[in-house]
Amino acid sequence: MLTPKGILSSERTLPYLLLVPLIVLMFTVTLFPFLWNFYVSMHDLKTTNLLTGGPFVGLANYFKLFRDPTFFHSLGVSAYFVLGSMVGQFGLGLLLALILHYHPGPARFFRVIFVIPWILSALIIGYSWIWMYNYRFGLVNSLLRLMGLGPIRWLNNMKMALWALVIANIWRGTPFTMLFLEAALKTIPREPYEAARVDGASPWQRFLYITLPLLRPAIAINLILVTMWTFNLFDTILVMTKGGPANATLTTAMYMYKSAFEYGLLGYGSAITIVMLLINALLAVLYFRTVGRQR
Amino acid sequence: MLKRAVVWGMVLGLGLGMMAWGAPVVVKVWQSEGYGLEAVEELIESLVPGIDLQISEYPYGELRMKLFTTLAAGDPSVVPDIVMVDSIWLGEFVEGGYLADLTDVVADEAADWFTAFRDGSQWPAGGGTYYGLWYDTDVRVTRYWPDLLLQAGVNAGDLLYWDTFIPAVKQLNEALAPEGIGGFRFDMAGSWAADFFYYPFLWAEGGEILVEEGGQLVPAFNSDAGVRALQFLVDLVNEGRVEPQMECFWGNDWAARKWAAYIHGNWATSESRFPGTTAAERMQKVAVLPYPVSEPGKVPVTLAGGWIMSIPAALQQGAPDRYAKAAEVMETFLRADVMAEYASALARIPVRAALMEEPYRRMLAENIEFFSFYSKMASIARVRPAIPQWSQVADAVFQAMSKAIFQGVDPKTALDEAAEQVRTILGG
Repeated sequence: MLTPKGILSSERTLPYLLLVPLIVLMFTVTLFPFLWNFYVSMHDLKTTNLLTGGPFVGLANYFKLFRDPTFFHSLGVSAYFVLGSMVGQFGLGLLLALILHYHPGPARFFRVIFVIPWILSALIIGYSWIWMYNYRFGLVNSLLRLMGLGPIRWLNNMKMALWALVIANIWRGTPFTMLFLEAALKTIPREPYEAARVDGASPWQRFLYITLPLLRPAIAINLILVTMWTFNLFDTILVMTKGGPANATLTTAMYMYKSAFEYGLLGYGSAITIVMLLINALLAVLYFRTVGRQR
Repeated sequence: MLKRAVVWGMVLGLGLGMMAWGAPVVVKVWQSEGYGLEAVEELIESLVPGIDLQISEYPYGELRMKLFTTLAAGDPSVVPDIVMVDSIWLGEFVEGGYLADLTDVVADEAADWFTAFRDGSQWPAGGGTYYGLWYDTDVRVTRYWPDLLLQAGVNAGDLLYWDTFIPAVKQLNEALAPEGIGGFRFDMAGSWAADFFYYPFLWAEGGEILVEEGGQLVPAFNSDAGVRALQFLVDLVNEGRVEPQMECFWGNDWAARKWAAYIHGNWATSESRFPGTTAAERMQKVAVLPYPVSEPGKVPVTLAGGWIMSIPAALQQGAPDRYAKAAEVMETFLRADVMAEYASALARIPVRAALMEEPYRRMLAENIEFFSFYSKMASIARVRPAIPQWSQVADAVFQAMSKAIFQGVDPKTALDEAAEQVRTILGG
């Protein structure tokens, strides 16, 4: 017969027992909200029927979503936003990581300076960039004027608004990539570089054939995280453009917020969230498969 | 031992009972920042003895969702006693069953209210069932700095008609730019921009946002009047060289002389934007005009917003004592003398006729700049339809504005597309 003492001393049951608190925590803060969200997405829940509960509509919210041109527009905007941010953050982040790695002297000071955007609140970043982009008084336009390039209507121009957000997001996200890749650079052993140097490899060749391949796992994880964060980002956009002008910066995350919390269509908003989750999951699988194959 | 415990128990019980007997009844009020009872808190507490008003303020955007999530619990122990609801939220809250039917409490008093605000306190509008009472309003008008107009060589009268308004703001922009001052501020920072820059022009041209057809609301903003109104805004941007603003500072930047002219709410000239000044001093500094109209003879229209005071349905159904006390507080607040104090303290425009008479009128005029003008505007103001789908309708109209202004889409096409979208939203 199993006694409490027996269970605690059993090598088979004890590990599972120790995992229980974590499983409970995961279920409470991750799985339950997800399941609840999925449940809500199957109902026509609105702010006007919270008391009675929205009627069960099955997959109707999803069918509606796939007939909604604004949703597809938001996916396109998100794709540009994510791609632009990812390329910028990765390029700049890698460059800064390499500089800090190969110049350890001033690195300590500059690391702190570079990290500031990452530790700031998204709202502060949003408001700061609004001011920097201001047509008449903004820092960005003042610099452009000095260079004779003229002021640009950043946030109220259909073509520029999304890129203005991308720039602000790159500014914010680059420090993370920089720190992540710099840490990964420190794990690369010296021997391959010494061997390459003996074989007469140029610095560019050493970077291309040693550094980059050995950084690949870190790069993949970094890209996954940056993609997901950027795809889900909405607070900076809410502050800076609210999805405008004329939906030019309406990302999927922003559309979800508008549907659920401005229009009061909670079931529909939940359906958007589930689709976003699926897209995130798909991207993660793709990245991991790519990394796995290359290893 | 037992005897001693019983005696101590009795003493403790008596003490607690006496404390409870003498303790004030807490009346919890939830309101948006700066739009509520704190200005007359002490006055109401003195008029309704034995209450303790506990006022909680929330940012505008947060209040709506906070009210939904709390009222949806339907539990009297968690809901506040009195809630302040933006007038455009009324339909959504009533359809959800969150607000009490207050016809018995306010219907008699409401007879003194201006028609638009009386009807807007009922759901459906003007249908006879009150779910609260609209307790203050605001109006939107053109405001300007006379000295800046003079400096730019612009006549204030040019701001009264569309065809002179556009060259006037262009001249303001050009003349004041070297000083870092904008000519005319045009907000496009959210769907509420239509409240300031589209509906008043639409109404003045004889158009409507929605009309009823066969018992069903249908879009009407894409009428010829709507197209003319939107074309004016497009011309304002293209010909007047007005740059639409994507962020809003609610009049603070205009009050700081960053702009010469601005169409905005009456709060932009209030003491909150000019700290430490009197109404008379503010009237010396700045000036106001009605909205520009397309041609002489057309009557300018403005849009009025405001807040409705209500009581959660959960109290009416599950806590009759608290409901009665909340109703008493509400009736007290809606007394003409109390409302006058409130409006005077917060520079809000009254919605009831009695406040336009003496002795209140003089008191309000002393504290609210341009009181006669604002009151006149309020009396002819129009209000938005407070239907549950309003936020979606408002966004569709704003998208049409944005497409015409930012993308160069023909106003008629943009409005027709939005109307089609609104037809679907309204279930047509």
